[in-house]
Amino acid sequence: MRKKKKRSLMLMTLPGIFLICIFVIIPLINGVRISFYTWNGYGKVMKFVGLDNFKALFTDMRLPRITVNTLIYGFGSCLLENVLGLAAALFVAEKFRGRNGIRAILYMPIMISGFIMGKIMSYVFTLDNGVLNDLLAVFGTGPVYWMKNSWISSLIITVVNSWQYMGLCMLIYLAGLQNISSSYLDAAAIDGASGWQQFFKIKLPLLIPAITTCVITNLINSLKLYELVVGLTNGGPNRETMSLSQYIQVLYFDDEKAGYAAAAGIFLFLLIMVLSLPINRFLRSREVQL
Amino acid sequence: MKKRNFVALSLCAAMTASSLAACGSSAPAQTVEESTAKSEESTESAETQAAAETAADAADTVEDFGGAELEMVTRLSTDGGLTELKALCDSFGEKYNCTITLTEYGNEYESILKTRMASNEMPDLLETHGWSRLRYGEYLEPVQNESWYQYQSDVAKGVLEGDGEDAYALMLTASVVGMVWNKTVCEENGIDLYAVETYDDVIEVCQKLIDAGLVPIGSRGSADDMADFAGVFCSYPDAPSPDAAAQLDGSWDWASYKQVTELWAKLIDMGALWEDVATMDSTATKDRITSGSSVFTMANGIGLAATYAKTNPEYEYVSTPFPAVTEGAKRYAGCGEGYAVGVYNESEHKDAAMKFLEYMATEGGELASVVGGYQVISSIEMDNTTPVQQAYQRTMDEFPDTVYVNLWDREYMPNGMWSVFSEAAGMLFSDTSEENQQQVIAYLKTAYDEKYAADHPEQ
Repeated sequence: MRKKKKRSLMLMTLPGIFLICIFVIIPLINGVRISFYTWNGYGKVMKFVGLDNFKALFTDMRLPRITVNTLIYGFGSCLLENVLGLAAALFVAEKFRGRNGIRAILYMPIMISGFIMGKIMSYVFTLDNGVLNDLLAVFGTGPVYWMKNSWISSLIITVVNSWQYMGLCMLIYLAGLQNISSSYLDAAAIDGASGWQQFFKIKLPLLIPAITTCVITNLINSLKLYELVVGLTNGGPNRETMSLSQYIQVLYFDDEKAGYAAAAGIFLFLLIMVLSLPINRFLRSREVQL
Repeated sequence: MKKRNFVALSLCAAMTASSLAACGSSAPAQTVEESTAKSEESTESAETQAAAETAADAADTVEDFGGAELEMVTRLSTDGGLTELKALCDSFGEKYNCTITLTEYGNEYESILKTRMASNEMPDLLETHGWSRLRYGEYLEPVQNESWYQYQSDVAKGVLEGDGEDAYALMLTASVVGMVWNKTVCEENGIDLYAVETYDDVIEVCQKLIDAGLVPIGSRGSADDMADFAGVFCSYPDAPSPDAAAQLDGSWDWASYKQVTELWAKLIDMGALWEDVATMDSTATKDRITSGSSVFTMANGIGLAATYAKTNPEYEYVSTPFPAVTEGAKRYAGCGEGYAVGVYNESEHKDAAMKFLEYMATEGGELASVVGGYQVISSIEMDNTTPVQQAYQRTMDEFPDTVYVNLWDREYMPNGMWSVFSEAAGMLFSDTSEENQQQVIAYLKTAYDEKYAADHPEQ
């Protein structure tokens, strides 16, 4: 009976495995294959160059900066989204009038596509008639070129991305908070635990599974950040706010270096693996079983 | 458990790399015969009549394609000719018993078409937007022996054939690049844009506008700004350093290109461009020209004057050819494929697709008039009252001595330089120092040498 159940469950996973093979495994293998060639991405001629594309990654002057940007977007967004999301969840978990409306408002930015959000924000930060500069003009301040310094531009991208996806963390944390039995908190309150103590000693340890989900999901998504960067700065000035995902796209479609773009794609793949695995293992080890 | 986590995370990360992988010669530069607008017009009416007769003869024996279903991909938008193209496809389908389905790709046209080329899933008909030979050539059917090809102008033949190669597209119009001006703001500031004949005049105008509190140039620092008028400085016969031969044989040392970087450095340093030039996009350029806070662009399609007029009709916009470097020298405008269509050489319905080109070569006048451009096939009748055609016509009328030449990068640069110019623009417009200018030139030269060598493996 148990064997039968197991078999039927296995069968149910087959469509998923099939789709993963079609859309992930086969393209991944093809990507690895392409990385050993020079190819313009559409022509009929491909030239085998062995590891040359991977060697070229080490001498690519742009790659260090773009990798740093990617890490800023990845870790910066992950940190902000989780801190703000948890704070928002704690806030909207309380009972007060209008909390459903506030939950909806906080979640709303996720419904907008990253590219559109980037475009909206570019109108906020643009030099000429930008929303922010128009506000400053009310106070008699001249226009500011917010994107002049590429590091500041990278931070702006990180903040906007965090704000947009904070709502997702909020929802996950909210679900986690609602799963914590009030009896633990009541008992702690009777024992004289303060609000902070209740948070750090009870809520936070019990939220570790939610934290694991949020951190890993946000980290991977933010390391792959693409749409927002394209919409907000399009990688400028001088390609200095590009993420690795955008760089791969530019290499493939604009620069017509498909083989090199594939090598850069494998680099991003390894980067995500190397960063996500230990963090995931660490967080899992902190999970509390009740 | 650990193993499962590892597999789960590996799959997540694999999605990243696989999303990329799933996607997936230079022809020697040609000589374009110099041609003015007037010379084109002189033979037009006779040829139109001849073509109409040819079409009438053909109509006597209407072919039937047995309900064939063709696909055509387009980058046109509803207000830029899509409606007219649909009408043309429908009327062709009705006449020849077939269906042409239009697939609209908009801004993603190039990327999607590249992936379709990579996977050999090409449509039967495609718009070639300047790349009929260099990019799409190996996928397209040669057309130079088609009956309608005789009606293509010399300018079109120069662009399509290059140096005696096959032509791969029907070209209804040529797009022309030059400068676009907000004439109203010029006049408000006492500037006669028709008196601007050299780049020294441009600098003078800039100073005047800066003194008036404006940011004269609305350009955004793109590949156009680096490449479109470079020939005026270092290729054309009147250029101070006519290095055309060296550019074509791969021996160019790029020293003369310094004039272009110096011009930009001077303009940027004097405050003639926006502080955020390195992060502006084409929408920002349009917004600033049409709001009157900027006055002109250095290198753009001249049909933009019509687009700007649509955005803000309170101002009058005028397009001009590129200025000369020295007084009295000829003025040039870059000319490339405007509206051009090719046929996939392995199409199942190649006959029907080729017939459609023939049909378009006589019936495509309305479409060409809305898409706009310099008429380069005499077998169609274009309506010169559409806003975009008026913009073109005005430039031709007001600057009759303009020399129309193939786009500089297509003529003198190896394949694949456009994105290099784009990146070089990013470098230059964010730092105009002497040292960085040298780096920009070194970057361009390295890319040029590599790409030239790739295009000429025999050398």
